[in-house]
Amino acid sequence: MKITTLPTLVLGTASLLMLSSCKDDSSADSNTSGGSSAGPGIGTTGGVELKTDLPKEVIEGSPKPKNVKNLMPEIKKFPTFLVPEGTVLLSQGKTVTSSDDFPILGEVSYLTDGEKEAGEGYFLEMVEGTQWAQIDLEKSNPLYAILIWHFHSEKRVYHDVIVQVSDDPEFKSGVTTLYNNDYDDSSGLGKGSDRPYIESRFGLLVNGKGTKGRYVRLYSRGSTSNEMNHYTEVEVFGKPE
Amino acid sequence: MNISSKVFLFFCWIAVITLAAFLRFDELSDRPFHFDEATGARITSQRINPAADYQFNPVHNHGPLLSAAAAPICQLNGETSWRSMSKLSLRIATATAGTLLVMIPLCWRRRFGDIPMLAASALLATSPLLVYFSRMFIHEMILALCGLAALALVCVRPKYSHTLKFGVVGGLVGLMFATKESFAISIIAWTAAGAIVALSHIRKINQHNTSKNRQRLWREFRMPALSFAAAAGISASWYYTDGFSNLMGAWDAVRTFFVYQTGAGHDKPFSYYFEMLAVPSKGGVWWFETPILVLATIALIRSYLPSGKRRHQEDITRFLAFSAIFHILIYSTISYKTPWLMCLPWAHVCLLAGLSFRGFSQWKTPIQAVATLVLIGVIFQQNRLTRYATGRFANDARNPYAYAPTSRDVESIRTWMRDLTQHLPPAALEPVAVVGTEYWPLPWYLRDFDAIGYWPEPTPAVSQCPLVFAMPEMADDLQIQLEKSHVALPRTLRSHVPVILFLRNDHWQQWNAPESP
Repeated sequence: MKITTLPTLVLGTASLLMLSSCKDDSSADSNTSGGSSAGPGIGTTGGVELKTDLPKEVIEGSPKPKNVKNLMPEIKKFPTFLVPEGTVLLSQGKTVTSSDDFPILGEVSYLTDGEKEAGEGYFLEMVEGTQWAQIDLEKSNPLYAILIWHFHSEKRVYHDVIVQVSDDPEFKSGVTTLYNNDYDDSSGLGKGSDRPYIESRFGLLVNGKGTKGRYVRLYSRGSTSNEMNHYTEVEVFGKPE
Repeated sequence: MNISSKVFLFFCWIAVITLAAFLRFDELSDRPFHFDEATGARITSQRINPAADYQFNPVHNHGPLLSAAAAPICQLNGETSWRSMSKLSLRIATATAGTLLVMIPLCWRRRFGDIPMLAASALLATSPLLVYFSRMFIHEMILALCGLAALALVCVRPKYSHTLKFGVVGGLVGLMFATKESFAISIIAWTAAGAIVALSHIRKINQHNTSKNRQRLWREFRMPALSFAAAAGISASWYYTDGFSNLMGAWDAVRTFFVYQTGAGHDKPFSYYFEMLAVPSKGGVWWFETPILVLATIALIRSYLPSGKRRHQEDITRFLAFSAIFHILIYSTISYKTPWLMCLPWAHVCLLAGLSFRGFSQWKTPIQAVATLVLIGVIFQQNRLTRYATGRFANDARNPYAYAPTSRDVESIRTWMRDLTQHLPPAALEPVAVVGTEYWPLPWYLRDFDAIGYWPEPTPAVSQCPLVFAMPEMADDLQIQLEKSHVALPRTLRSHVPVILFLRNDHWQQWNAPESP
């Protein structure tokens, strides 16, 4: 690891010369930072509170990154989120497929096996790049909440988290995107305006908004810790029709 | 040997060399550029650009041979500037060196036979360590190639004269010096190994230690020695003085041994290399090159078993074994450790492992069958591990050879910057600021920009920059400084090294504005 300061003098000088012509934007509107979503909201008005079993807190290593304002606020307790009465967990034990035919660690069935604990033996690890896991709910029903735990034993941020619902198993038609924080469209599924978030035992709660669909597909493209894609558990709540 | 055997062996050699080339060149530009690859690319760009006035830097740079080898490849590919350079052109130099390394056992075919040397070649071809670092634009594979070639040629019976042979060996040692100052470790290791082998013949040496014999030896070897020294000096000086155009370069080549600065954070325990290569470890898959070490140990033990016929073969085997041991011991004693420093020592071990098949043609058929199965099994296992190491684990910190790997996320930053630039007026994102230390290979991925400033810590000037990259240790301070003016976006530079990208609010709004139909 060498010449870490090699270009500093040359380029730094050039940059400083250009600074005089640089636009001063320090008074810019501070409300513009972050994506458009401010979290899942309160859910369905007049509904009942969504309940789930949360995994134990297990944080390994030093928390990174921290204090990044554009991230969704780190939550300290599971949010109060309302769903219509009669909403149940639809994904338990359902068939899962993925874009990685040979996962490095774990099995795709881990996503819907009800085990949310941290550590090896509980999570699926897929190869690098944009990858997806897909749950077949067997019937098309209105969906109200999707809870995702990628890897919650370290404070990391997963890139390009995208959640889609469709009745088409190929996701070529009738696709509704419920969550997308791929702000630079690096995964090529369209620019998203949701905010990146730090993994925690509370998972990511995505508002299903009553979207009807049989298949739920979840994308990611590595994290701030490494390039692999992980899933510990996914819960899809909906109301059977 | 009948013709069909010769044809079979010929195709075996072709198959091994083809496999070596495939493992080294397949999707060569896929993996993101490493910290050290990017700094090497920067040096190469200075060599390509006449205005940059390239000079060897003895404090921060290894030898000039790597950039000298890569520069013509870049120029052939029409890459004549820092901005236009590509990973592929740069890595071709080291991938070629790695492929040539596999051919070195050909030199010993006459002495040891085809089967042991084919085995050595196949082990060199498929070693995960050697393949991984052949695919990386760093000095090690050129050092390994020149080092192993020099060692192999020393042990070859010359067809013409000792003067010519030692001239070539000297030239190769000079190239080792021009590659990296750590060539001195190899000289020490080889000298120590040679001394140990000589000690085993001390009685015979003493018997012949007469003034008449000394004079005869002097007459016989003074020209080869002179040829060695001259060739080593000329080949090293040629590169350090940039074709004898900068004679101060020769002084810098000496000075580098005293002034060269290593980076912090690379200290590791004595057992690091042994554990990396010999002790199986689980990280996604099981990582180990233990079978090669086992075969090499068998070769060394066999050299001490009574046979009485092949003294030269046994001496060479022992010399190779002790050279490998001294290399590994010296590198293990130095607290600064990186996995690629094992390339040349491990090339010794692979060659030695091939010698465990010495005398194969005289073995009984059942033993030959078992040995062949063992060899095929080892090659298969190595090949599988190599594909993991250079494929899905190429950038994974659990891979013992992936040292501080750069995240693919950095590659997508460059793509986004290009997209972003199209939404904004020309040069709207400049000047770009990078704040913090240990930011390489970021400059490689930001080379589309003309104006980039590098600050070790935040200054008021940074606030004026539309695009700011904060290394982890500076992220909190910059978050406070840029809170009102910029939006912060977490990205990943290396494994467990997030970098925060700050983009000025107006540019962020423009990026997110609905596109006009």
